[in-house]
Amino acid sequence: MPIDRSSKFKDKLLRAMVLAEETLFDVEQEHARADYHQSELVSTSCENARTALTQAVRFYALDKPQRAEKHCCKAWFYLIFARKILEAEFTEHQLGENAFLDLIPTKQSIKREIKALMNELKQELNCIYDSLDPLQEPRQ
Amino acid sequence: MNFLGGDSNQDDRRLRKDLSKFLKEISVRLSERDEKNEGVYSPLCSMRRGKAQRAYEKALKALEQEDLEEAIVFAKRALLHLDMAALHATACPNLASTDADKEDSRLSETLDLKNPVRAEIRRLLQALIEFKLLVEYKNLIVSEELKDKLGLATQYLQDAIELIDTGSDGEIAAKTDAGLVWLSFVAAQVLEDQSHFPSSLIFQTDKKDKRNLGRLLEATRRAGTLINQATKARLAQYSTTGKYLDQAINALIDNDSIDFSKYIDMLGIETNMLQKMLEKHALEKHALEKHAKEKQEKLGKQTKQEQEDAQEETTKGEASNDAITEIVMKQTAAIEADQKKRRKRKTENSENTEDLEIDSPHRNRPVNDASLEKTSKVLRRLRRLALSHSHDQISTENVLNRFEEELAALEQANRNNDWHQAAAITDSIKDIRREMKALLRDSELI
Repeated sequence: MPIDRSSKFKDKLLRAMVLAEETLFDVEQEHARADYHQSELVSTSCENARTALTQAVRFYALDKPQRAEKHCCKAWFYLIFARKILEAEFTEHQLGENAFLDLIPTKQSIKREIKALMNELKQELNCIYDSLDPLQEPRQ
Repeated sequence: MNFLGGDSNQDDRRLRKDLSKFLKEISVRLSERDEKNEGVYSPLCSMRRGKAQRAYEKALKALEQEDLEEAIVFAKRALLHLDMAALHATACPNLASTDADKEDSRLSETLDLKNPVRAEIRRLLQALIEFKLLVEYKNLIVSEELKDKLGLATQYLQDAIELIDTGSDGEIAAKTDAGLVWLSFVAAQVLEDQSHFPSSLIFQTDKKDKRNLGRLLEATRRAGTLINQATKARLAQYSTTGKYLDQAINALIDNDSIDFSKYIDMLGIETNMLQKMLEKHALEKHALEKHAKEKQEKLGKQTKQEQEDAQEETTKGEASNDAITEIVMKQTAAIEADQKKRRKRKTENSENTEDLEIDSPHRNRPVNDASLEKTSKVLRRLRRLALSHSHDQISTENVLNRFEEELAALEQANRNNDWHQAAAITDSIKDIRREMKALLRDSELI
């Protein structure tokens, strides 16, 4: 069962996986340097890219290049996305007012919203409890 | 001898031979001191060599246990890690020196990035970035509600990427389409100048399978633009376009052409109504402004005439100065009194309206209907957030379901004017709220 190293496609795929891994390394370093805004979406995209890349390597080693290619493609899309977000935020940091738009709600904003909703709920329920004061109950 | 006539001993010998060749090669390459391992990607090189070492050890272990196939699998993995390490050792940094498009062109052949479905993923990705750049560059404001929709569009991008491995082309296309539609809806509401609309969202196609998407994108853009205008005129609360859009997107994802046509028609009707409402609002506003202007002019003329008359009087004697002041004062007082009277009338009217509401048949109900309605609304928003971010979705859903059931029971008790039942239900609601708070705390959401 010799490894088919003559295959042109497999060779290109191997190089694509290596390039994806190097890009992931670069993007993570860039992200670590971007102290002006730590985008959660970039972290998630890098995490997803790493998972996809691990799968790509696994399928490649199992002589399943088609599946490896699909996982490598997944990793590549996540990396392009992460890198473009970083580029956009770098531009905003350099030329703008550091007003970043998060494409997904951040953990902090979700926490804030849930807290506000719980407070609103508490207020409304208090109104309900108050209106149920027995003193207000009409006599039968 | 097996059924196919092969000799199992011969296969075994061949496997052992291959394995021995691989193991020898791995051993030699692992023991080599990599002179080039000083480059930018030396951490990646070390990582891959470490993985190769571990795979090599596993291959040896499998060989010890006479599991030749397992040993071959690990040996091949070790060789792959070493190949990757070697490529990392000779690589140049990517991010700083080359741009994304250059890398894409290097990879597009291998990764089939020009495949139509993958091109659509790329389009959604590009559109999201274009929108982000625009909002940041122009300091535009995106409301919390629209941020939710934007989050949906981004989530659809992730769903589409994840489906590359397991989904069909149709499933991937449905996700990217949904993402494009939501993004289009958000962009139309946020961007004042429609000429800045992200180019990736402007869709023109003759492809039959993309006609529905084209229709929906166009309808969405129109609806979004009108909602933007309606929000400014404080009329947006009367629109249910968002609801129909949601249903049309679901029909598009499910490839249900009947429902899709139905909802897109309803979206069109709703958008037309919104447009008419806006036109009516603009006409009314114009008429009001005209009326106010005319009245102001009339009042101004009247005051001027009186002032002129008074001035004539003043020329007759010194004492008439006081008269002018008196007239002007009187005039001002009259205007103020008139305005006060109007304000009072307006307040009385609004109080009367409130009285009417209180005097409605709901007055004797134990709980105010508005409070119940508001609580339900808050609970719906909480459900959406809590379910998508809770660590324990099943328990959270159970608690939310119970909360909604109790609230429905409270509404029923309210309708029946059953004070005791209503009081008993509120006790239960208090307990459920505490439970929900604990669940949210466990998920670090509060």
